[in-house]
Amino acid sequence: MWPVVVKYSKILWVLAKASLMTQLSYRLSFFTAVLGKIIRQGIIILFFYIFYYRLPGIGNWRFSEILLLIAIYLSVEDLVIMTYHRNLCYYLPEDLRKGTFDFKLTKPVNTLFLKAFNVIDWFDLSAAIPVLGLWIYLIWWSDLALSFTQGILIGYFIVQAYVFIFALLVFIASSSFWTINGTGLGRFMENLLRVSRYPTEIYPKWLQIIFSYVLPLSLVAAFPAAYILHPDNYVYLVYSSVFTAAAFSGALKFWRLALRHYNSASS
Amino acid sequence: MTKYWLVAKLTLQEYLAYRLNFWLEIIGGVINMLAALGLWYFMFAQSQQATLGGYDLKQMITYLIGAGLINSFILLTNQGDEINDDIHYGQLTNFLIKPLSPFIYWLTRDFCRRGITFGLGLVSFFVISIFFNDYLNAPQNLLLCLVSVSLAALLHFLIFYLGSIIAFWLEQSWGPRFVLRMLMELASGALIPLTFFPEVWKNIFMWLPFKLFSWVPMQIYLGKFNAAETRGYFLEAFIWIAVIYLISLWVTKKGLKNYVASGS
Repeated sequence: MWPVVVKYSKILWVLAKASLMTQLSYRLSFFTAVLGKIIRQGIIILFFYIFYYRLPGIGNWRFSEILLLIAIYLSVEDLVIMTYHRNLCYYLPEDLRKGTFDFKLTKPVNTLFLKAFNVIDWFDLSAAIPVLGLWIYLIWWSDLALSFTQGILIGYFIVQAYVFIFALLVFIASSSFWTINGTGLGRFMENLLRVSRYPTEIYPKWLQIIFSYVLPLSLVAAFPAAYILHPDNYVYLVYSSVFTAAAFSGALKFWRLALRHYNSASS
Repeated sequence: MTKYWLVAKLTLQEYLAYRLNFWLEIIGGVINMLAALGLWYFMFAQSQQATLGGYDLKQMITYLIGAGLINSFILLTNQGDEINDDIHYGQLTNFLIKPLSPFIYWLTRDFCRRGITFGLGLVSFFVISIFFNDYLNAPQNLLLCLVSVSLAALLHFLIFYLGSIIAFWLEQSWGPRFVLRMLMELASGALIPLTFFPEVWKNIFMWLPFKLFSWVPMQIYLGKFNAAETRGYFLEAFIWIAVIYLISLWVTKKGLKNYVASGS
């Protein structure tokens, strides 16, 4: 097990270095893109700030609590966009269309790993500075007084959301083996994930059930924030973990099935 | 003119080849818009106030759906990529040796794409209207609203055209265009009506052209402007279009002198 972890870590490191070199070859574009990403995160915070500045706030959530929800959401989103999001949503359909996917199959590495982590997006890593600032604010200056145990729980929830979205993306991206998706897949996923940045109570009851149990987008940020603030919903904590594990396992099986369907028509 | 008509036809065929793509974009857009509507509906129900920020519930829902529809026409995410790539990979050379204006070629393709995404937006609009039919306001001046949206589309193309042709010098202009898009998303009133922003921010946004993209057309739609205000914003749109067009011509001329046709 350990040699495999070392091998894949080394591959990931090489891929990350190669991506950084490619992205830094257009320096001005790179740094302005980082600025754009920082502005984007600022917009999300500002959006929620307006609900407290001009409006009475969202439900029972205080502003600092909403900031916790946003910090979790942005951390997950940054990790997802930095690693597998573009690779699965945009580059996989493109590879399949152009026939360049064949080259990935010839490498002595797990194809899904190679495809999902082929390009590491350094724009988003650099743009994570505001998220880091947000965490520092929440830990040291906010009225939440987060403890070490809560910190570990937050880490667990972020990893869980990362794995859950990965499974969701693998399911959807695998459809590219049967259809021509183009960029629609990426846009669809981006829109879907945006739903998870709002507290679940804003939705009608039936939609709350869907986002909690059928397509549990609430486990990305809304549930983790709510659980950290009021740790009482143990049943859902177990449910979300089991659902994530099952989704991950199902996604891998579906990927293998899709891969068997690949006929390399374009090459 | 015939050649640009052919460009338009070929562009439409090219985009319509990806039908599943369109459906995914429609469904994604509908989900996202429903979430935003859910949030505002919740805010009104919770506050138990008739108006928030000068909008009643019907006006707010109409604003969000209308701005969403306009965004499908205006806020195209990869706006300018094609122009950037044509310059970066040297494909611009093909246009320079043909009796074809690259500017009109790109404009034609851009408006075809807008037409398709607007169609997608309309489908989303109708799907959402089924759920929110009782909460939609009738247009106060649909014709003027459509004219303002058309002007906004042209202005948007020109701003991003200018943002793309810096590829003559930078080779890759994605970063600056991304910053532009983010500023536009905030200052156009697409996410939230501009009246909700703190006074300082609002004043800054009023000096920028981005408000003409979503906020102004929706104010016209909702009948929140009088005739003089509408005329004023139309004049402002024409001035922005003329100024940015003239700057674009000048920058293109300078850029072509710098163009090395690398990769062609």
